[in-house]
Amino acid sequence: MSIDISGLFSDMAKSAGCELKEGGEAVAAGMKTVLENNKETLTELIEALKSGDLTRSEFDTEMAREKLVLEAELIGLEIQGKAAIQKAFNAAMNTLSSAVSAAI
Amino acid sequence: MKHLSFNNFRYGALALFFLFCSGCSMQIISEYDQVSMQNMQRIAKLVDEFYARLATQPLQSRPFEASEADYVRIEVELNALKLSQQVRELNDLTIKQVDIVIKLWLQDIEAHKKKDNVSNFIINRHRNQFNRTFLAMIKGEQSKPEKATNLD
Repeated sequence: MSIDISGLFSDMAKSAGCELKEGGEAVAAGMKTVLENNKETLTELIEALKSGDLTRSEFDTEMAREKLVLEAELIGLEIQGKAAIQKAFNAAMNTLSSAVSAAI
Repeated sequence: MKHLSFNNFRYGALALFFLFCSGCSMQIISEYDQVSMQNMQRIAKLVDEFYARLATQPLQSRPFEASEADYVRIEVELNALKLSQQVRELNDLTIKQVDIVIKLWLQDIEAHKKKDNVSNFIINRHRNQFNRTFLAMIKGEQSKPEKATNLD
């Protein structure tokens, strides 16, 4: 029985890397959308306050709500990140399992 | 001979270690759940429909009483959604998202009750906020792995 240890770990890293690349790109794109939404919203709220569509109290309430919405969006990205890491790790373990089965 | 025996022992120990590791899969997030996904999408639609209908009412004819039944109905749906998320393992993050939606919804009820009216600006803002929050919830659910990988 022989196992090429360094080759095996390289393969495991590649498996993990492929999964992470896909998951990582999704998270990055999601983050960009979240930040753009947030910028757009803040601009709208400030304009509404300036024009009198909102009172100061209403503006504060809306800002607090926006923080909650942003929190929900960031949690969504956290879920995506965790799922990507789990997939990457398990892909690496699958590679290891296949290599060990082939070697024994 | 001694050297060969040591190498055999080393390879044997390594093989045992790899065998052990190959049975280790990791789970740090809940598995994807089709029923939860469908409920999230259904309730998102209910909320959106609520605001769409409210927006069609004339500006000064949006009393709280006319919307009370819908508010209660959606509140009950959201509480049921939270309950269904609480029984899933490793699902704290989704529960936090549901809690946020519930908080926003209860705030809307209180504000409408207090003012007995809702402006077009607030309808549009809050409709957008709920869309974004539900989208974050749905995207999160969609990204979850189908099932925990069990390596044999």
